[in-house]
Amino acid sequence: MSVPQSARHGRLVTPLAAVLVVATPIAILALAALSTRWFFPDPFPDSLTTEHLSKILGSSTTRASIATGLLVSATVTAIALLVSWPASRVLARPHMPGRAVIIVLLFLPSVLPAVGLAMGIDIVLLRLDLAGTYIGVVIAHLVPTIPYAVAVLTAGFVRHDRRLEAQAAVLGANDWQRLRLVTLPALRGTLLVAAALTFVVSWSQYLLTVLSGSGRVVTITMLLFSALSGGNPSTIGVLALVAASPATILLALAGRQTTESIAP
Amino acid sequence: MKLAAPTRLSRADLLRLSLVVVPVGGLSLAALVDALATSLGADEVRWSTIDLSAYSDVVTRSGFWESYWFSLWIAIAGTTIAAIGAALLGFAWTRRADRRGRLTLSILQFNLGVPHLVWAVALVAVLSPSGWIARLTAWAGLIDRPNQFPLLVNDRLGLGVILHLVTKEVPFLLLASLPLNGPRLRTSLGQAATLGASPRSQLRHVYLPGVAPAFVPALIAVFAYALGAYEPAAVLGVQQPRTLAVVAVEWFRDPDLRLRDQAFALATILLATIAVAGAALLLVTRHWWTHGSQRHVRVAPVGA
Amino acid sequence: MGVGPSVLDPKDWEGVLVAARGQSVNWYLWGGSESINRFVDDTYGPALKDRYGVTLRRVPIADTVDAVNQLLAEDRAGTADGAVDMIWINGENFSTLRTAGLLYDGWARTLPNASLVNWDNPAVASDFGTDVGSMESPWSSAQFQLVYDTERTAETDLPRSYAALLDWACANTGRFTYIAPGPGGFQGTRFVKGALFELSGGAEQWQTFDQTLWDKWAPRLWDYLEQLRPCLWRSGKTYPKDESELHRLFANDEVDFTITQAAVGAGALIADGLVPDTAKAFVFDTNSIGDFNYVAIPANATNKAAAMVVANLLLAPEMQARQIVPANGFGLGYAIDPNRVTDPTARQLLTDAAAQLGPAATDPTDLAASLVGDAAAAYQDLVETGWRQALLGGL
Repeated sequence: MSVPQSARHGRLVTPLAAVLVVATPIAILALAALSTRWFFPDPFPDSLTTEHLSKILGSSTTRASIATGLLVSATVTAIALLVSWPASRVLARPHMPGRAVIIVLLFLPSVLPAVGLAMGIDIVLLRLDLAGTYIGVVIAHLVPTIPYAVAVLTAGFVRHDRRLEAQAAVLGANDWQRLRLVTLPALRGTLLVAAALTFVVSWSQYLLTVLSGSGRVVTITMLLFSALSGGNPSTIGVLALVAASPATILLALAGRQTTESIAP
Repeated sequence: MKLAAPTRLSRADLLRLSLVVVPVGGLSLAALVDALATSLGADEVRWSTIDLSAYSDVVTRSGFWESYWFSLWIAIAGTTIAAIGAALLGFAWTRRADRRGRLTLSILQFNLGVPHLVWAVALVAVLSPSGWIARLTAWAGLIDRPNQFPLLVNDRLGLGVILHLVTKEVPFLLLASLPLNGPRLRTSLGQAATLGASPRSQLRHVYLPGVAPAFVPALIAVFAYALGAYEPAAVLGVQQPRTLAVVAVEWFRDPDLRLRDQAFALATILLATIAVAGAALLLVTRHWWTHGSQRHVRVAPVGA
Repeated sequence: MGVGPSVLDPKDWEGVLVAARGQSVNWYLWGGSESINRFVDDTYGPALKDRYGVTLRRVPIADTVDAVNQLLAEDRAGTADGAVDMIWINGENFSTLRTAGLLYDGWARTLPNASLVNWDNPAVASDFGTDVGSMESPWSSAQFQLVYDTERTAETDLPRSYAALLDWACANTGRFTYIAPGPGGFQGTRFVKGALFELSGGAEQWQTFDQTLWDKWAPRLWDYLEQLRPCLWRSGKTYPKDESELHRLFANDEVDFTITQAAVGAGALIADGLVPDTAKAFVFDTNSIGDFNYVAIPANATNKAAAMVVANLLLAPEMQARQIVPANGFGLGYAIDPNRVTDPTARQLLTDAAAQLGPAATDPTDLAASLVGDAAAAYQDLVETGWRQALLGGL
């Protein structure tokens, strides 16, 4: 299977193909965002304008929904990391009894039908009188995000060399000093990836947000869905770009560290 | 590994674990119980008043089975194609893990972060009969009008939804299965190649058993998503047949509360289907778990 | 529960204004049209703030039924200070809330500007056959129209009845379709009802609900639509699910007609960049369904006084004049009767605005000639589920 000659020529074929598949649809949305009345059969718009972009980004509704999304997703990220950190440390131990049970429970939301899960969570929140509140939405978002945070952090702790901490302890460092001076610096990359992933997963939720927020907690994906029913390609383009923008955070973090830390 | 490993969980450890298990597992279970109870016509969980009428109403509605088979077709086709794609790509990249493989993974990772709703909207913009590719085709003089362009989204075969699932889930499967034991697997593949194993045999006997412990659960998650997701089918689907997930959401949001019970009945039917499919998948792939090069199989943390 | 008098009397308008000052109104309205969103934010928002000290908070929803669900959920939970202060509403959603007793009553007809509304017009006083009482205040009017592209289709070739449409569609296979009736497909339901009116010889008989009448005509209706089906876009195997999809098909030359209900015809769609600027609206000779749409205040609304101030402002002649000018992006018709406006300046505003309807609008004489009222609300569900079963055979 080794054909060095052609392999050299084809070196960039796979990355290029990936760029093409991933970037083309997003680029077309960007073109739609920057044009008006761009109809079949024109392959490209006649002219580009930022009129729509500035109008929609300037509207108070868009801004409010971005602020809401940031607030919800940032809170979710903070809580998810806080609770996942100690749990992941335990899960990363070489011989941990009952690990399978924990993993199955954490895996549960991934194998439930998404619509059923969202509907069920909405009913639970209604019962707790939390439906339609920020807190309700944050609680709902913890369900799909914590498993990701635990997966990334556990993988990080497994690679982490605990002897460093033991040495620090021998040298007289207390718990807090060990965490601040040894563990956190060593796991900085992992933590960053976990945060980015948690944030993006929370930010991307549509159905779960609509149902748990009773339409009252309005995020950008909801504006996008609403814009779909209006059909203006420029509006749809702008809102879609805003909704996709946190994904670029992941891209920025891409590299060895990231790809190595994502595993269930 | 010189440090003595604690073998028993302290009370503090249990507390630490419960911090993640309670919100995730607890809320999922509560949601599950509530869904079941509602579908059985109970407002509170009172099993004495089990009422199966929501199920019989749903199943006997005209069009139910068409929607069911359509949903199942999309889920099976989407999962199968994504699985084959991810296995082949992952195999190729593991064999010669280099910069370009890493670069490609990073690009795909971007796609993983794009919300499903955005990706579905983007696919419509590119693939619909008046979308960008159709416009290029018209510009090249191959078609005059949009209706001459093949129907790739909002089509009765669910091609658009399947394509969405494949393009979104191949990156997920790759990232879920590859990275952790990539280097280890590469070494095994190299050894197998030295011993004269064909690429085919390397794939079957080394690579697949090597990734299976992560790959198979991820595959079940992909199937569950494909069957129970709302956004892709709502944006890329057709009016008829609609997937059960789309119908469930519509009924759930209808002011008529009887429809809400039926929406939960649909969700429960989807859940049962996932359970059967998941069990079948575990059964089919069991030889990967039991045979193969066990030394490299562990995906779960093995220690530093 | 907040400040202000505990008992609000809608008849005491000064008291309402005092209570409203400092309140925010959560107005739930369909948020699909960016131009309508902008119109609401830019036209009413500043006026409310400057004149009444009221903050307008527009809550965009994908379908009005979401607001209805919100209220039903609050009702089950016994929420006294509800999240919804005002809803843009009509038809089935209104009748659901009214039946459930969830609407605030006794305010709509006492608004100062309510005197400009012709409450004697049955199309105003009855919303899809349901008496609006004093629970809904009108905002604007709408009438079903088709839109064509003057570049593609000659005016003389336009079909002017459902019978002619069948001939046209089968002579131009694949170039016509309509929106699937059902949630989000309100205009499609209206298209189908128009066909029902023509087949059964008139709209009058459908104003009150009569099951036997429905049973008699429904089979013929499905018959007609079945005949139309093979001539439709994609051979009628699928239908656009909402207005926006139909606009997209029309704009991109997949079909030759789309649907609008704006007084400015295609004007608002052109201004919004949804269709080519050569688009123009027209109507069949008769059975073009028109109606009014309203705002309602939930019984558990937290900011009722401010909501009433908004409802009253919507009816102010200067605002009514602004809403029909195509460039402003709203484009629906008057809710008030311009003849009731006595102030000469206000009257002039309305006349001027009517003169700006633009070339993309249907001739007002044609519109008036073909106008009929909608069928009773109970038919809505029959048409929607009946259509789905007869034409699609599905869930």
